[in-house]
Amino acid sequence: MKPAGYISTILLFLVLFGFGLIYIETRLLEAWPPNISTDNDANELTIGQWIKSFQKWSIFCVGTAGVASLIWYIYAQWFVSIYRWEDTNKRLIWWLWMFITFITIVVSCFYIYFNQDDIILTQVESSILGVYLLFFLNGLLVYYITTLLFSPLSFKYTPIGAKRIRSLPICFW
Amino acid sequence: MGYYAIGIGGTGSKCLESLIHLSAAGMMPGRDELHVLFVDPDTSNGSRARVEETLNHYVECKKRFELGQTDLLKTKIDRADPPLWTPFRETNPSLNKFFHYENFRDSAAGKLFDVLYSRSEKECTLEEGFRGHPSIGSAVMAKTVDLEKDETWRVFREKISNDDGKAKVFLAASIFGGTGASGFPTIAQIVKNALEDVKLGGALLLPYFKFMDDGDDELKAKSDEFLMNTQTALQHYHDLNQTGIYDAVYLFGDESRTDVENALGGPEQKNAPHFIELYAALAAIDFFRRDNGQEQGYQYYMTARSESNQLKWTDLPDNNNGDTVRQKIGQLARFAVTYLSVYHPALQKIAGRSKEAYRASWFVDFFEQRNNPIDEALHRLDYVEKYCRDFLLWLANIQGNCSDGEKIELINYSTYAEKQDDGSFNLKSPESFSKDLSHLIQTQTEAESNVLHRLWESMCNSRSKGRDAQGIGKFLRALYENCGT
Repeated sequence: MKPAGYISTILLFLVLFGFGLIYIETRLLEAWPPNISTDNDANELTIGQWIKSFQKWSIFCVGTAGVASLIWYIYAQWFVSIYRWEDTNKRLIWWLWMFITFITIVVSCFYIYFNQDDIILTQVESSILGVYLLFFLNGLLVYYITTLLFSPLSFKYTPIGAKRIRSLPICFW
Repeated sequence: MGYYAIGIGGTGSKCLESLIHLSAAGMMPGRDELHVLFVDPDTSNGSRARVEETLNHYVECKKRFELGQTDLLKTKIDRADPPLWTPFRETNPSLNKFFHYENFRDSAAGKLFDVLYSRSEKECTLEEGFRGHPSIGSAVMAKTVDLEKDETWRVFREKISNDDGKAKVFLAASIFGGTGASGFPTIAQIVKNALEDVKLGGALLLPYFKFMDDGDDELKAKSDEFLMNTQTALQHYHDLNQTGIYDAVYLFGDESRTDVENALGGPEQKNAPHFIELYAALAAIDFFRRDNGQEQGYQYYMTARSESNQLKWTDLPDNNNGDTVRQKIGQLARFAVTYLSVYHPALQKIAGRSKEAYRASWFVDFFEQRNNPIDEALHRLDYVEKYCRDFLLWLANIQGNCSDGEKIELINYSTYAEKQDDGSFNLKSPESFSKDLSHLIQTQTEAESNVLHRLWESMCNSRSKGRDAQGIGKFLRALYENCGT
């Protein structure tokens, strides 16, 4: 597969996998809704509003991971030329983009927490931990799976665990 | 059908050196075996020792890797056992000792012997060759080349006989020295007498080098005598040819003769490869390829350089205006350069720290996932490394070993080698090889340039290539094929 094909596939995968993930999480939250009652009746929150807000921030996390995956691909494909063994050690860069995704999500969570207009974390104290976890899951999992499956050929085994996955016959690309 | 190549003397051995490298590049016709024998009284000759070492590396590579249907090391080469046949059994041989001159010196035969050979010819030691005197060599060869009693020749004859009259035997020798000039007609005559059906071809090399210093009056080859020797020998061969011994004879020479050190023989006689020997090897391939039986009467072919004192790929004779030779040698050169500078060092690094194997995707594909342990693989791949070094040095010499007035435009050896003050070549350390292969082969197309990083990427996407190759052979095959167009 040529790089243009890879990038198209990455975009398609991000849409399908990212939105699929959010869709499943939404269905689960609807099936087992968190307790969103608050002391402040004026700001009474419906479960629909809560889920909508959750989806908005989940998309942001998936998007962040998607951008990081694309930057990793572009960097590894076009900004690294391997002439010698010494040129091959790029795992640190791969970790760096995962870390950037992580930090972006942390900053977002702080933003949400301190932004009084947002209704998720300020009003549903009991759900704070779970929502945080879902945000991190959405971001890091999307980055990991995308790079695991679609890193450039020269770095196809750079993501942790890629040797097991990319060598399966089903990963023919 | 079997192919048989006999290199007579130092030059003959060097012609076989070129033939070995062309075989590695896949230029031999078909997949029939090539049987090789060296003939030389000088058992410690430096040139031949180098060729034998190259041959050993080739044979070991071929034996250790299953490469499947590919041009790389296509031809199986079978060495005679031992690969070198020498007419002398005793130490410090001389003509006197060899013919037991003392036993008949007072007879009529002894007197005739005195007329034919000077005192110095009779007494000088011959363990370093026939000293540029074919008259000595012819007498010795005629007495010792015995296709029935001598073990080496008997086995050689048996192999030819097993080919049911389809065997082709090619002899390569120089015409202007001692061993080659004497062995070329003598051995051919003996082989033809014993095996009538066999097709015989030969490459005769006319003077193409001269000695820097002809030195003292010691009995040895002298470049002043080369042309005279050649003229006499050619007249002799012309008369011999009336008997139809050879089915094809190829003659080559170079009027701008390269300077070489004048060594009497032994390890010090280590003459560098020369492009004329490449021509001789191409002649052998042409002879092996031709259906000699189909041609009626004598066929005369001529090849010449388009401009004197210049050599380009298009000057090399093949059926494709030199393009096939350029492509095949070019592909092997790129393989050798990249293997030595990138892949062998990478394998050595991985051997020391296997947790970092992920850094080379091709390693995971070809070694880890196919259960080829790196330590054992490296042990076997050492022969590939050695052969690649032999090939690149040979190629550098083909390009760079010429007289001052000659312009050879085949490769850029500076990519991987450097010329020493004494004119010899050394390979650079692999990490100093140029990363730019676009000028390695002159006049190569852009598609043949194979930028190193693109080659690395192709290697990481080659695990399904070469399905008929086995084990590490898959890796070598993939690298070789990715070095092509």
